[in-house]
Amino acid sequence: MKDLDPQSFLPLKSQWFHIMLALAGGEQHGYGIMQEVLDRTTGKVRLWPATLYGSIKRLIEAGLIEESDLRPAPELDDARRRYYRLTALGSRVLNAECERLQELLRAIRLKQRMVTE
Amino acid sequence: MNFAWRIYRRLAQAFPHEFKLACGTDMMQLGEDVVEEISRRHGVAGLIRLLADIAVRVPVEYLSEMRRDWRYAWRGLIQSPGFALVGILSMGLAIGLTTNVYTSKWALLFRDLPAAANAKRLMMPQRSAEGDIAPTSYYYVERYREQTGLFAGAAAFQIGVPFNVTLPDALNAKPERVFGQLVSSDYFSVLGVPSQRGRVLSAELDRPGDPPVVVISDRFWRNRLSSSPDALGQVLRLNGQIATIIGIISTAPSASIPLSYSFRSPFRRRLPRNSRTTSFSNAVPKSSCPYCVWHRASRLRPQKRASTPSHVDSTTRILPCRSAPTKAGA
Repeated sequence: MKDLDPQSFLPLKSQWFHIMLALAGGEQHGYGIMQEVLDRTTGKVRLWPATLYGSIKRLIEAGLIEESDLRPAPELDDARRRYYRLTALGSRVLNAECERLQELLRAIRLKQRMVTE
Repeated sequence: MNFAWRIYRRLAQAFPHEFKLACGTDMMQLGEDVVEEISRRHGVAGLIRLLADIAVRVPVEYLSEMRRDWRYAWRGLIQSPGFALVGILSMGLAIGLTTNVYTSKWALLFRDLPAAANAKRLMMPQRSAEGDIAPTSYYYVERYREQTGLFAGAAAFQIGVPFNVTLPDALNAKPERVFGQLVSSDYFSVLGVPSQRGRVLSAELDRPGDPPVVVISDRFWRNRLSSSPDALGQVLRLNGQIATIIGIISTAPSASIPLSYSFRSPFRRRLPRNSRTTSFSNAVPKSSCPYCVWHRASRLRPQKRASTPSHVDSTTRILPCRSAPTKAGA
């Protein structure tokens, strides 16, 4: 997986990006990912269960995320849930995608400024 | 909400095994967690959206698994070409042999009779003791003809009959050999063949004692009689007998046979009446059920005639008559 070029994954699918961005802060389970995406986008983006887990399965197969063995404290843990985290490759791909989006955002702002002036 | 949750659970159980191993429990757990919240926030539309999402993902996941299996199989075959070759050859042979066997069985068990059911005309040859198709005696053709409830008509014909023909303008010249057919007087009406010019054979034109008549094909008329407009009424010498040309036919199925000569002709009278080598029968069934036709036709001979040749059994076969037999051309 280390040999894979992060650029080969770009541009990321929208739901892949949201999931990986949710995992950038640490391990999360499916429900946590869904809630974080919902909160971050103020309810505009909802990852429905089948779409969420279909994407998680493909992200695992692509080597961008993996199942985490680390569990939270027992009083906070739900034994039935699985936790996921970014792999090293996943982190590089997420960084590359963020840079791509930042470039895009810069270009958009430049264009907006030109239009308003 | 309970109804939606039950459907969700059913759909979640319908995912491929590999998907359920990886995410099945979690997806079920998540659905249980969110169904109430979605119902509260989005109502029925939200529940429908939830179910639609999972219903769409089921076939998508199956296709994904299938693609992965194909890729795995393809890689495996490429890595071991010998095994792949043996496998492909084995499967090809097995599929080919199975198809062959089932095609034969299908043709043997079902093919003839349904085709006969759709046929407007049937050929009814008999089966010899060796299993070959044998001509039917004219005696049986007459019995078929009597079954007006079973057949609209029955006609007899014999193809490939050699005639020594002398043309009208050279009656004293050396005759030439032409292969035609002997037909019963109702042959053309049973087959529905009209005349192009003149008339075709009919019971009125073929009574005992009447002079012999012959029907010729359009091709014979053009090639041998040079399209003579006076051909009708002219005479041909057929095997030494004078026969009058009464009609020309051009439509299928008999047009490719140059001469159609009556069974009741002097030529015919030289043959034994019940000879098995004289005729095939051609019948128009009234019943649409081929089994009924076969069953009733098989029972048409309650007493076996002493003169019936021993090499022919009493089994009647029914074949769809797609086209009339054509053996010789002018």
